Parts: sequence; structure tokens; C-alpha cells
Amino acid sequence: MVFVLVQHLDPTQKSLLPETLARATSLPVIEATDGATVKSNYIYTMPSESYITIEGSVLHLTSRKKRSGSRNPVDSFFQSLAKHHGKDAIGIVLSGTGSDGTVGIQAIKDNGGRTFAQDASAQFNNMPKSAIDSGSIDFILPADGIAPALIQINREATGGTTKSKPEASNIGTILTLLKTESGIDFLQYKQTSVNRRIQRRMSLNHIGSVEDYAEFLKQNPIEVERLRKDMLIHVTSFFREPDQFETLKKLVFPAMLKNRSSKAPINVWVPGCATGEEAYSLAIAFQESLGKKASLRPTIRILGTDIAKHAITEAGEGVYKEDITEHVSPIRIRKFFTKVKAGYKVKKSIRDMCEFKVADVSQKPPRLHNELISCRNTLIYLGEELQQKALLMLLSALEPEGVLLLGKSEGLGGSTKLFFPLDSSQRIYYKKTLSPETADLRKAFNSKAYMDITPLVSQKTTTKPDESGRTPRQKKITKLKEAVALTQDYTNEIISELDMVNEKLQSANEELASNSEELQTNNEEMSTLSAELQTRNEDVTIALDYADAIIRTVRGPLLVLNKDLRIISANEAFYNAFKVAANDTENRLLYDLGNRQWNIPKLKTLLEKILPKSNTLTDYEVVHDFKDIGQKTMLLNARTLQQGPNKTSLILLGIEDITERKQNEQQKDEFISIASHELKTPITSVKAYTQILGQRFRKAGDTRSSELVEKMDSQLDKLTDLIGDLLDITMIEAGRIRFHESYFDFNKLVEETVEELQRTTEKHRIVTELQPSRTVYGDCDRLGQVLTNFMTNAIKYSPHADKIIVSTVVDKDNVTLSVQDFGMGLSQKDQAKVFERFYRVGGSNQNTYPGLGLGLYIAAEIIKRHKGRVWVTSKKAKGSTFCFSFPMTKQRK
Amino acid sequence: MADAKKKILVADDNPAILDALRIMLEEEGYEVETTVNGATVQDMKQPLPDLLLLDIWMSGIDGRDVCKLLKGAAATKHIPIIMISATKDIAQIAKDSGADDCISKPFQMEHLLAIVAKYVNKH
Repeated sequence: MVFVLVQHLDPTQKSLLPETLARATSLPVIEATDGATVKSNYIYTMPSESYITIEGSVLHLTSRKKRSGSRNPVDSFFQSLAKHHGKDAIGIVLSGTGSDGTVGIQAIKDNGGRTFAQDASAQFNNMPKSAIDSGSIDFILPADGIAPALIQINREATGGTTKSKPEASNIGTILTLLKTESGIDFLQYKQTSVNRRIQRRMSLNHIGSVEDYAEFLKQNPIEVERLRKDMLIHVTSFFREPDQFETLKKLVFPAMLKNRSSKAPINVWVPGCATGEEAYSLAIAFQESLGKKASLRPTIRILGTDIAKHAITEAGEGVYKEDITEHVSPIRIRKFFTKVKAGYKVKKSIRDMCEFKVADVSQKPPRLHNELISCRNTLIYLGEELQQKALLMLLSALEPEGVLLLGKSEGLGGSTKLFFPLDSSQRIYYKKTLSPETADLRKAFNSKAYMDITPLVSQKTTTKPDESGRTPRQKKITKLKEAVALTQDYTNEIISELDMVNEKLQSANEELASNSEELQTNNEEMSTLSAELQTRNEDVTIALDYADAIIRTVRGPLLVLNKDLRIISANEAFYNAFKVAANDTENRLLYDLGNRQWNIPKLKTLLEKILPKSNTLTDYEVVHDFKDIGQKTMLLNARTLQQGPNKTSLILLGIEDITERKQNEQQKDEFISIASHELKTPITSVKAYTQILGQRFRKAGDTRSSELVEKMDSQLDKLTDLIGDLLDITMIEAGRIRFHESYFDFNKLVEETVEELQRTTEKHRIVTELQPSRTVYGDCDRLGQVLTNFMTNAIKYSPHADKIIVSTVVDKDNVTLSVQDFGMGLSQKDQAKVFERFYRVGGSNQNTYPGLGLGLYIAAEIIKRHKGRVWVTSKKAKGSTFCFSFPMTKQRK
Repeated sequence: MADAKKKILVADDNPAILDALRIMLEEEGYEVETTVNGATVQDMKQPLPDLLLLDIWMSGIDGRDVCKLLKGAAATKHIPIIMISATKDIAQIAKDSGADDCISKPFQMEHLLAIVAKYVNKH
């Protein structure tokens, strides 16, 4: 179906119709050009300076300037359509003045086409009415009934069976959703505006049909909110229509401020204040009027309301962008605003005059007794019925002689009778009261229909009665009265005609005003959107590049699999490590790769059983004999991730070849084990010889020699300890250390160890403070090792002290043991690291104390295995207390 | 007749240890035979020793197996066996193999002599 729109346009003005229409429809809209071939599902508009006709599929334009005669573009087009398209022609006469189209529609009908006319809902009824009266109209429908009918016709023509709900009921669904979400009945708002907003949101969401959009809204409450916010968008600025403000200051404010006590506040209400500019502008205007009369200043309370909560919140902030300088003079900026990071903020003096609330202008007013109500460019968005309702609300909220200020394109409509215009061109009105006391001002603006004829009647005439019993004077009076009555009637008629025309012009004006506002908003939004898209595009590209770079530079082999375990991509490192080629790898099933060398049972378990459950797998070791590269130990890390809008499942598999590392570890372990054994062997025999010698010296009475030999023996023990530590470390690291747990008397162990160590030092006295003995479960030997280590350290690191305190504390579950020395203490840094492997504390002058730095580490490991903990508290130069605690009873693993 | 000296067989793959042990034990009054060869231990010939000191890690042969073997054979199961090893964890291993006790290297002479004395008289 091809659509051609013919309108009555001003030939000197370029038509903006294509742009305007484009926002209301998803069909492409283009301005017709001469000789253009029409395409299906396109809308062609008539350029303002031409007449348009159609011949077959080609459009023709003729200049309106040249053409004389008929000035009916619609007829002209209809006739050409009827002639060339006969039964396929569809003519639709919509709202318009005059009778253009009637002749054309008859032509269409005569040639077998179908005809529509808009029903009484048309704003200008003449054109449709005229067409209807000609008897050539098949369907009389409202505008949103015509579209479904066309769809029906199209369906019959193409034989399609698409079932779609009529548009009207989809809109209804949408409005119901909005009403549920916000409580606002948008059916009462101007439907053209409502439809436009809906179309806009549809195109932003790339949804073609209203039915689909209604479905979309049902599933997405956030979109309902966005739509609602969109509906309530108001364009506003500071000092909109500055001349209205000047008139207010000149005509209205002085009257308001005259003859009043400074106590009574002036209430001002600004319904539909949106983001607050209007309210603040009034506040500034008031301040300027009151000027220096500070002491006589009455309080002014400006209440700004709007139905859009987010706008009210913004109004409350009072912060605006820098571009308000376009509407606010530098003097006003300086006097009433403070510069802030985001732009400008209204000063306290202004902000304190204003209060903001959420309210619906068509409902009961939030505050009565207002002397001034400024409601500009709010009512234009409401449907006619709602407008009148709102105006009545405004009226009720006004004080007697209160002033109403409307927008330049607005009017009072049916409520004209309720107000006196003070300056109708500036849309400033006074509330009409029924009281007989009329102010001086009002008299001058009294109703034009009323004429004072008393002067006429009071003229003196003769008083003689005639045949009919009436005097000539009486007759004259009667005649005059009749004449006057007639004149009155006639005048009234004209007035009401004028009123009607006025109303209609008003509507058109409102429409234009709201159009232009919406255009403005749209423009702004378009440029923001386009900037955002640009940024997002860049972000996406950057992200992709980044991800790509990471995968490529990762040194370890990396595979990306889909959920069927087919390889989507692999990196360079993978190809190198496993000696496969890219084209052999991509898109193959993992298990099929390179002679099924990846067909590893353990790997299968990993990918098919473990991974689906837990989404990530860390450090999973797999040993496998690869055909080309031999036996390898691999460390696998895997993760599932969802990608893209459809959440396709991917598996990321990182493979680390730790064969060499493992071998090194194994070698290391073996070496240390062997080393320990080998070291112990000569020591065993040397110690044995030493002890034999000692015995012989003692038997011979040579105490000096036997003492020497004892010293040798002692050093051998030290050496044995060092080797023991080394061995322990190895076993701990390899997880091969074994514990032999049993029940034993802890205190007994402590006492025995203390006794043993006391023998090694003469300088120190080891004091014990033990709480009563308890049986504990643990490895007696190993715990003894820890005790020995702590006490040995205490002795070693307090060479100048003489005391060491060993104490225990027993609570319900744990036993805690502390060994306190009074030696050099530890710095904070050392305290934090002292339990670390190889950490040795430095003494003064770069000395270090002998030892491998393993003792405390091993002690910590032993306690850890007992599910306990170790710690140290210390003060430099004062001493240290090393503690460990562990649960006394057998811990369940 | 005075009690005959008790005979101790010492098996270890290190000659120095064997030497030291021989001196130590002979000075204490025992008769000592030493060997580095595990097979000799296994195929013990008469006269049988009164006690066996057995190293766990010997080249070519696992001390545990030898112990198990001896303890399992009727002829030798009465002989007390003390296992020697370089690691502390041998107690369990020793027990598992059927040994009577164990001692770790390097050992204190007193300790060794005490253990030997304890078991050598138990027949």
C-alpha cells in the first residue's frame, strides 16, 4: 500500500511534515519529487509549493504559482488517483475546512475505489462533512479506526491472515500499564502527544508494531517507567517569554503589594513547574520588584508542583547547567546564583522563597488562597476535558481577584466566562467573582454583550396614546427594544462564532507549541544518543582488542571451547606446546585433537562432571603420555562463562605444563632425603666414637679429656638438630610429614622439656606456671619439638637475661602455652615475618643468630596440623612471648 | 660355668657405624658379629645370635622385609630384633614389620646399650 498525504499548506513556507510525521510512524516518510516512482509502504508528502497528481506509479508535481483555476489540491489528487487506479484507489478525507475533496471522492467512488471520511472527532469538520453529504463515503470512522480498516483491506488484497489486534486496544493496554505504574490516566492527556511519545519509545527500542510494544511493556517494568517519564517531559527555561514577566512586574505586582500588612504572606502556585526554572524566575522577579523595600517586604511563598517526581527532585536541588546564561542576564546570574561545579545554583535567598511538591494539576490543589498562579505550557498536554477540569481547580485555588498566568499559546477555552482578561495578549487573567462590588479595573473589561440602553429609553417623547392603546412613545420604545434585542442577539451570535474560531485557533496553537517543545527535547536527545552510541562502539572495540591481546600474549596455552567441547579458538602457546596446527585445532572436538591425545579420562571427568557443577576449576593436575611430546604433567584451570546477549556458554581452559617443575621438585625432595640420610650416617659413627672415648676417659679418671669429648658430643647434637630441621622441612613441603597422635599428659611433656633445656643453660632459670594438668590428644614428639624450639629460641635471644617463664592456660576447649623471654625482643616487621620459612632475625652489627631459620616455620606447621595457632607478642629490647594453642580433644578432620 | 657372652649381630651398610658399634658393644661385654650384607642376615647360620641390630635401609635389601622374614620363620622368630634408622618415624614401621623395638640414628650410647640390655636377656 502506498500512502500519499495531501494537505492545505502555505505555499511560501517549507513543509516540515516529513520530519514531523517520521516520528509518528515507522514507515519511511519522504517528500514527493516530480517523476518519482512510488514504493510500497512509503508515505509521500506534498511539497508546499506544488500540486500533486499521480499517473500509474509516478508522481507529478506542478507549481502552485503557475496553476490557475481550481485551488483544491485534494480534489486534484483524488481525481488523478481515481482515473489511474480505479478499484485500487482509496481516498480518505480527514479534518479540514472547506469542501476540498468532495468532488475527488465522488470520482474515486465512481471508479470503483473505496472512500473514508473522518467522523465527528475531526477538529475541522467541514471537509469530511461535505464529503459525507455527497453520499460518496463508504466508511465514516475516527482516525484510529481508519487504520485497522486499511489493514483489513490490505489483508484481503494480499490474502494474508495476520491476526493483529486493532491499534486502539493496544494503546489502551499501554495506557492501562502506565496507569497501574504511576496512577496517571494518560487517556485524559492529548492523545496526539501520547501517541507520539509511544512511537518514539518504540523506535528507540527498535519495535515496529504497537502490539509488540505493548507486549514488551508487559515484560519490562523499567520500560513502563521510562515511557511514563517521557510522557511527562516538559521543556522549560528561566524567564520564558520575558515580556510576560515584565507585564507581571508592571501591572500585577504593584497591585498585589499595595495596601497589605507585611505579615500576611503572598502565596504563589506554579503547577507543572517541571525542573523549577519557572518558580525560581518568579522568585527573582518578585525580588527585583520589591527591591530595596526590605523592611516592608511581605513573605512570598512560591509553591512549585509537578506530577513528575524526578523533575521535582531536580527542582529542589536548584542546580542548573551553565547554558542558563542564554536566558538569564549576567546581572541576575551575579545577584541570584552561585557558580558550582555542575553550573549554577540558586542562592539561598531565592531558594528559601520556594517549596516543591509532587502534585497533579487536575486534582485537588495542594494549597488554596493563592494570589498568583502561573501555569504555563502545562495545560496544552492535557486533553480538553482534563484541561477544563484543571482550570476549575486553578480557579478554586485562586483568591478573589487572584491572577492566573498562562502560556502564550494557551487559552481559557470553555472557562473564558470565569475570568477577566487583564492583558489577554500576555495571557494574564483575573478571577471573576460574583460579588456586585466591581473594582475599577474590571469595569473597563466588562462583557461586550451588555449594552446600556437606558440613555436611549430616557429620551423624552410625546405621551399621547394611539389606536392600539399605546402612545407613540410606547411604540417607539417597543420598537427600540426589539431593535436592541435583535442587535444583542446578532452580536452574541457573532461573539460565539468568534469564540469558536478562537478556540480552534487556540488548539492548533497549542498543538504547534507542544510540537516544537517535543522537537527541542528530541533534538537534544538525539545528539546525546548519538554521542553515547559512539562511545559505546569505541568501548566495544577496545574491549575486543584488549581481550584478543590478552589471549595472544598469555604465555600459557589457552583454549576456548563451546559447551559441546568443540574448540572455538586456541592461542599460539597452545599450538607450540602441543605441536598442533591451527587448522587442525579449530572447530575440532577436544577429544579428537592430534590423534586423540587429549582423550584423557581424567580430563573428561573434569570437563563433563566437575565443571558443570561448579563453574570454575582450579589447579587440577593431570598426568598423561602424549604421543609426540612424551609424558607430561599438566595443571588445568577451567572456567565457564556466558557471552553475549544470548548467553552462549563457553569454557575457558588454561593449561600449564608443570612436568619440569614437578621433576625438579621430585629431585629436590629426593636430594634432601638422601642428603639427610647421608649426613646422619657419618655423624652416627663419630658420635659413637666420641661417646666411647668419653667413657674411656672417665674410667681412666681423665676428667679434662672427658669434658672436651663431651663438648664435641654436644656440637654433634647441634648438627643433628640442623639436619633434622632440614628433613622436616622437606617432608612438610611434600606433605609427607606424618604425625603419630595419642593421648598424653601435656604438663608432663612441658616439665620434661623444661628439665631437659634447663640443663643446657646455666645463666637462665626456666620458671613454670602451669595450670592443672590435662590429657590432650596430639603428637607428643612433635609438640615436644615445638616446645624445645620455643625454649631454645628464648635462651638464644636473651643472652643477657636470667629468666624464662613458661606458662599454660587451659579453657574449655584449648590449651595455650606461652614462653616468655626478656631479651632483645622483635620489631613489628620481624613479628610479622618470624614464622616464615628461612626468616632469620638480625642481631646488632649485621650479626645473625645461628640457625637455618626453619625452626619456627616447622613449629607453626606442626601446630597448624593440630588445628591450633601460633603467635608472638613482643616489644623491642623488652622481650618476646611466643605462644601456641590447640584444641585438646581429638578434632574431627 | 659362667654365662656365655651374649652374641649380637649388627647389620648396617655403613662400615664406620659397624666399627663403632662393635667397639661399643664389645666394651660392654658382648660378642659382636657385623655384616653389611642383608642376605647374610636372612640366611642366618648357626649359632644364632641373641639379638639382632638391623638397619632399615640397606643397599639391595629392605630391612623390613628381612625382619618380617625372620619373625615369620620358626627357627628365628624368637630372636629380638632392634631396628635402626635415620628417621624418627620408624617406630610404626618397625612395629609393622614385627620388630621388638627401634632406635634412631644418631643414637646416644647409653640409650643403645640400655635397649640392648633390655632385650638380650629375654629369650
